[in-house]
Amino acid sequence: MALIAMETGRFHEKYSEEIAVYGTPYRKIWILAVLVVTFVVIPLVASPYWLVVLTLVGIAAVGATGLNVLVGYAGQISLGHAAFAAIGAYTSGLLVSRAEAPFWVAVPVAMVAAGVFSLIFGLASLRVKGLYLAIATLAAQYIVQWILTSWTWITGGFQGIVIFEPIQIGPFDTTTPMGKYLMVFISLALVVVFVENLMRSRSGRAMIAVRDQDIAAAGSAVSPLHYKLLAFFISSAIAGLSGVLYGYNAGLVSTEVFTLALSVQYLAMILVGGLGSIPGSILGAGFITMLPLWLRDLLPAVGIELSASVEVHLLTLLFGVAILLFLVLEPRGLYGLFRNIKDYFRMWPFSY
Amino acid sequence: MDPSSPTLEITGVTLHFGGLTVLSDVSMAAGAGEITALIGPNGAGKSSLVNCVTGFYRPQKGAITLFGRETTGLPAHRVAGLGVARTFQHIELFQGLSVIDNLMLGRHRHLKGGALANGVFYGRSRREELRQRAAVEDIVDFLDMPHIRNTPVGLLPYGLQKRVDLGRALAQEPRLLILDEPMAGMNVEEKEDMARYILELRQESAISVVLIEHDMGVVMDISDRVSVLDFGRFIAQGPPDEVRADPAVIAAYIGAPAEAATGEAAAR
Repeated sequence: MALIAMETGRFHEKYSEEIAVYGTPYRKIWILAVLVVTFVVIPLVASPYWLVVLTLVGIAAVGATGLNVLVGYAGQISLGHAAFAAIGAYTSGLLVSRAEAPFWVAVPVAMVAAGVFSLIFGLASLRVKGLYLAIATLAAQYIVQWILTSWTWITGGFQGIVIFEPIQIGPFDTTTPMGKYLMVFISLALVVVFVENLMRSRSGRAMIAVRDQDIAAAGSAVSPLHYKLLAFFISSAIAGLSGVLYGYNAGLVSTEVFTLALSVQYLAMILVGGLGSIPGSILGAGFITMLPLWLRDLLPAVGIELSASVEVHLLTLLFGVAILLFLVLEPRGLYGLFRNIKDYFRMWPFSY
Repeated sequence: MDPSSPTLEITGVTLHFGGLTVLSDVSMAAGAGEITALIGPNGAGKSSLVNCVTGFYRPQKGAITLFGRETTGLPAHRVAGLGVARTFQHIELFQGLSVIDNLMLGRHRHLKGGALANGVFYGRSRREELRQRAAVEDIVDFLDMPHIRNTPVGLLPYGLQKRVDLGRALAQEPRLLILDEPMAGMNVEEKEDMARYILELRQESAISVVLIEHDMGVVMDISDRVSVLDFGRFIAQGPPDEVRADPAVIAAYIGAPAEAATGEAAAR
């Protein structure tokens, strides 16, 4: 068995083979397996409860993948991604409910709106880096929250609630858990393919170049301004999509959804999952989304009963501990951990 | 290209950092297809001059003309887009990327297709990537580094990193190549390799080279013209043999007898 798993002795004969995502037969099988499990096995066997949980994971994974484009690949930072998600959610929600636009118009418009809005704060990335940029994007968070709560003529009244009309095409219906699950995971698959392709071609390479050495990038005819803004746009448009998906999943959005806590959770997801890694974004989204569920289900199972308020605070504490542990012990995150384990078994029984 | 119009023309460039004058009224020209060496003691302003040419610094006075077009004040990525490539004194590679990806980034201006086409990938983007990849492989062969093509550059030894830096500049297919101390810190053998690459380049293409280097032996051997910078002004310009014999150059490099130095100062 071990012999088959080895990747030595495989020589590429064409450049096209080298840039292929499924470069080895094993990767092909893996990708196929993930697709089959996601779109065939889980819909067939999962209980409605698990469909709901996985849908939430998927929505978070879309947002985290978007943020990873900006933070992991382009090396910028954003504490305002919940705000960009809010722009997406409200734009599509209002377009559908007020202007009666079909969803296939409203969703792309919402994504572009979220992207364009983020450019205002992306401009700050030209001047400031790191902590200062984090604070500039924090402004996005508070501006959007303020607009949503104060300008009631936009959101229309009490707590800015906007209702999302469900999408119904033939048997596909987003009022059912199955419909929601499929909607979210088809979107996630599209986002993953887009980002993966982006990162193995010209634009993605330029983003990584700006992250690693912006001076040398400029010396190679790459405009740092252009690619920082592009990263902000793409990242926030994807975050906007995540907001839209949230809206369709919950049936409505309110001002209380897209808070700073959500922005921080997105960051936690990619830190725990792995910066600059798409599988990492998804693993991190799963970890952070399911942590409260495990806490709620596992602690009573071992005989510890906590009051609700303690549970909430314990959760915040655990987020912090998880981020710290990963930063110190495995900066490449869950995906790095996975790679280490894989390498161990590939080399087995030798240590290297 | 018309040999009478130089590839690079610098006229009266003055650069201050606060109260410090780094370059004062500097003029020089680099001819098409020539190797022009820029030498001078440490702190003379060689790298600052290169940074002015490539758009990283903006001089307070003076004009820079590249390929017959004034480029003073253009941002660095626009200057690079005109066909000016440079290497860096302190290697500035993309550490996490492989050698191939560093070179592919050098091809940036030759690749077409925006983010949307890249995200869809199949079709145009893929064809472009493959075509440029072939061009990059030619450079990998030229610089004798096929064995390291997939190694992340952060893991390579210093000499090879310098070579990758040159490779990335070559991948841009520049008309003017500016090499900022490409041989610093190298042993004799590595220096010879580097000199051979530069000479071979000049032979094979119409490329113009501006070379900053401290190793006098190499400079005198391979350059067509030498310009000597000292304390932000040129003290000599001309063919290697003339420059080598110039008393001002000898004074700047190894010092001069007291009376000669004062005579020189008076002449200035």
